[in-house]
Amino acid sequence: MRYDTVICGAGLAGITAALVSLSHGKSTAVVARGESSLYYMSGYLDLCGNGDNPWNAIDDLAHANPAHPFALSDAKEKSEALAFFVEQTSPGYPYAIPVDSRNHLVPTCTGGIRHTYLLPANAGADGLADRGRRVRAIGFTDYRDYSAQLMVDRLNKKGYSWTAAEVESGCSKVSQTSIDLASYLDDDYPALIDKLRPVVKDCDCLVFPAVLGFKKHRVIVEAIRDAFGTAVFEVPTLPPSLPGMRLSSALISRLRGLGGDLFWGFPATADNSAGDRCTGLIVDTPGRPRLIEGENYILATGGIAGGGALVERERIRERVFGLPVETYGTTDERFLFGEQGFARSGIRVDSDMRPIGPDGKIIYKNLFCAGRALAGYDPFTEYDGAGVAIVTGYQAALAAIRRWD
Amino acid sequence: MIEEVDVVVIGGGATGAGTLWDLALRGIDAVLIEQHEPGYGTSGRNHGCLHSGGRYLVKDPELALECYRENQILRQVAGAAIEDTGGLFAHIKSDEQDYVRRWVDNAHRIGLPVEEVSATEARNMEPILSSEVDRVFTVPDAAVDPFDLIYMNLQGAVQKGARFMTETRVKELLIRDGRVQGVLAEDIRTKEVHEFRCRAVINAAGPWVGIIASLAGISLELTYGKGSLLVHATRLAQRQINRLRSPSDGDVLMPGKTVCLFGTTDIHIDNPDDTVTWADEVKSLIEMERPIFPDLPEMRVLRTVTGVRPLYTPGAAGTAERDANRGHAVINHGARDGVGGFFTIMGGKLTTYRLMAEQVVDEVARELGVTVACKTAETPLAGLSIGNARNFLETKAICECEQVTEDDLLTAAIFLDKVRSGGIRRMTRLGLGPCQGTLCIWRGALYLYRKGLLTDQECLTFIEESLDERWKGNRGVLWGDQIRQAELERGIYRGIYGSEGD
Repeated sequence: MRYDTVICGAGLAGITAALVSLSHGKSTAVVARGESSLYYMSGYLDLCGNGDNPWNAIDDLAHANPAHPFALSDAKEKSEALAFFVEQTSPGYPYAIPVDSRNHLVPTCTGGIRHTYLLPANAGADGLADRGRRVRAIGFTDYRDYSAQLMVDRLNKKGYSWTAAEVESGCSKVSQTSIDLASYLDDDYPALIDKLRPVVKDCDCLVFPAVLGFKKHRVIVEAIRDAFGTAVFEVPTLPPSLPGMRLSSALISRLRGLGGDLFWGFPATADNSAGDRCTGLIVDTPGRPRLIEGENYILATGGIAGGGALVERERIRERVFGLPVETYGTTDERFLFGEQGFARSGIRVDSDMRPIGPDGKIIYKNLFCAGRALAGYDPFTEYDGAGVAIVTGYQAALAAIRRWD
Repeated sequence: MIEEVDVVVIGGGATGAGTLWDLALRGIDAVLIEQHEPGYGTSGRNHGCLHSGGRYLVKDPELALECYRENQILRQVAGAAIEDTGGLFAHIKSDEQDYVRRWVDNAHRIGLPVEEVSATEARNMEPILSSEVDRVFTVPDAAVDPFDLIYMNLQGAVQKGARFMTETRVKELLIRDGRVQGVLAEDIRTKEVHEFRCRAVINAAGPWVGIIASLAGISLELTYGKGSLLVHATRLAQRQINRLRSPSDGDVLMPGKTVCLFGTTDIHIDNPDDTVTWADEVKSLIEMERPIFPDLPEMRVLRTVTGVRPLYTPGAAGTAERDANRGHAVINHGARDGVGGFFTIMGGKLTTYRLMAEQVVDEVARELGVTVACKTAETPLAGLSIGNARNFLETKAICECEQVTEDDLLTAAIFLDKVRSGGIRRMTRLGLGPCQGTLCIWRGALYLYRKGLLTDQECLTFIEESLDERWKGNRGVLWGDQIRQAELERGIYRGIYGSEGD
């Protein structure tokens, strides 16, 4: 099988790249070992920084660190990438660009306050913008991974005046996870609305843990809105992340709808026998490995957590192509949330997103790289994980298309 | 607040807890003061070996016999904390051959039951053993869970009317007319001060005995040896496996509950709080595994554990740590330093903690005019009602890796005087499994909050302290699954919860 573009990895970066490729009329295949990190992440899509203005934060980062992936694109390209991405989400799980291009202020389930850029449009954005808003946080007595009261206790110390209430979910499992609750609500959400009636009063907005259904999420949110005439907002909690799953599922539907092929569930290795060009991906399907060939290849297999980078005792290995991985030494010995050198490890690329070696030379002419596999940034201290994935996925696909043309 | 009590015990390790139990059995009113949580120090940072004595047969047969006797006693009185794994001493071809003969001779001399098995049989028993092993002997070693042991002693003592206080640090010893009159101690968080008026003080502070003694103006000759262990993610051996050679670094592999521990190193340090394991130490431990357990270096390492051995070396400055006296010492500071009513118990091993407690309490009882004899060798300790959940479909699990239930957390929280991350972790094993607390720390904290046992601020502190504590054990072993776990944890706690010390 031969494609114009072959992408390895089906996370935010890989799928964004695939959708760009398809929207330019290129035949496109995505090879993925399995679920991406979206399943573990909040579904809040950060652009950059935990402050009001992400664009200033981007400038500061790119200025301070020329090796940062954001230094490879200008603001215009970034805006185009984000607009493209948001458009792709609209049929399945729509996200929205903030009207003033500033970050939203959102609550966390610990009652923290954080900034983020893209929110699901039906999440009723700006849960924290208006301090006078009458918000009622709903929890479930039988869902141990979330406490509405804890969130409210903490937020109210920061000048809010939210209230909390708990109802029984009705899901009969002994220890519910987010997925158990969501699939229960997919089937039985009218019962939830009945249970909410006695506890919903005097409020403009209802806040729930992010478990309001998977397949029927939109229907459930609308039903709650209709029943109580309030806005509805979901707060992310312990993985698996329903917002991440909904987004992943919506993007994959979009990919298939546009005619992309998805090879799902099998690890791939590169067949790069032809010197300076990648010649194919060998997908480990049972019985007979399958060769998938393309004009261009995009590596978007993620970093350490996603499994694209394997950390061994003495080195870090890139799993598919065996690319050289740039490593950083410093590690904060005291605090997990300090500066961790390993977090910045990854693949170094040129301005066309092509992996380069320590000598600065391009490794394969037709290989591009995007997302968490890239070197030079730490999404968990910089709050730029989704931003880098979307922007570099977009860039890598365009660079591949430019070469092809 | 001033309280009257007969005896104040300083230190909540095995020795301190055992001392409190011994005092309680003799009807002596006592309170134990621990600066962090029970088992925070050396007692909670070792292999968890209930030594048969085999390890000391050649170098110190007397100590070997002491271990063997205590091993037999503890199986009777503290059975709930002990798993009868049995032990092997395995000799590899390249190690000294003559050592085996001397070892066997001494075993016969002191009556330690050792039995030779063929190398093939031994490798069938423990496939992790190298094919370089030529002679193997079975011994009655066993595994002891130090936390269970400590909490069982505390529980027994509390039922007899004793008290204990955690996160409380001794600030001052009140001394008048050459006698200790009391103790001033301070809550390490709230700085609330407690004053105890007492007739005797027992210093069982482990690596910190020197600091406590200095509060009485007394200097103790101590050296500190730091020992680090690798914790592998599963039980790769079913028995304690000792390398049969003169005791040295890296010669014990020990199964304990769901994991196994390999170690140790022995590095001289100057500060008893220096418990960091650096990456080069991990590297050297992995190299020590290779000769006897060739596959072990490729097995997942969950974390490191680092303990400090306090060694009493009167008049022996400059002695290499492992050669320093591993026995224990009871010091009556009335006789030695002119501070009456003040006693230090130090050194020793986890296996001999009961004997150490007996000996120091004998001295104290004599001073107080109490004639009741020690009863700890005959009085069984009740097990803890933690970790007893049999049916996971009917009980709510908080920690899936270590099977910690809601009931376990509640039991621990009620037993402890303060609900803090360290005490809960050590009492229940919350967060000690392969996910290293990524999911269960949040769940556990939330459960305690919902039960009204933590305030909202305490709940967040519980989470942050737990994560930082796990990180201390993880930072030296950041490769493979462990670093993936750390990245996931950063993603969850920073990305979803927005934790940043807020």
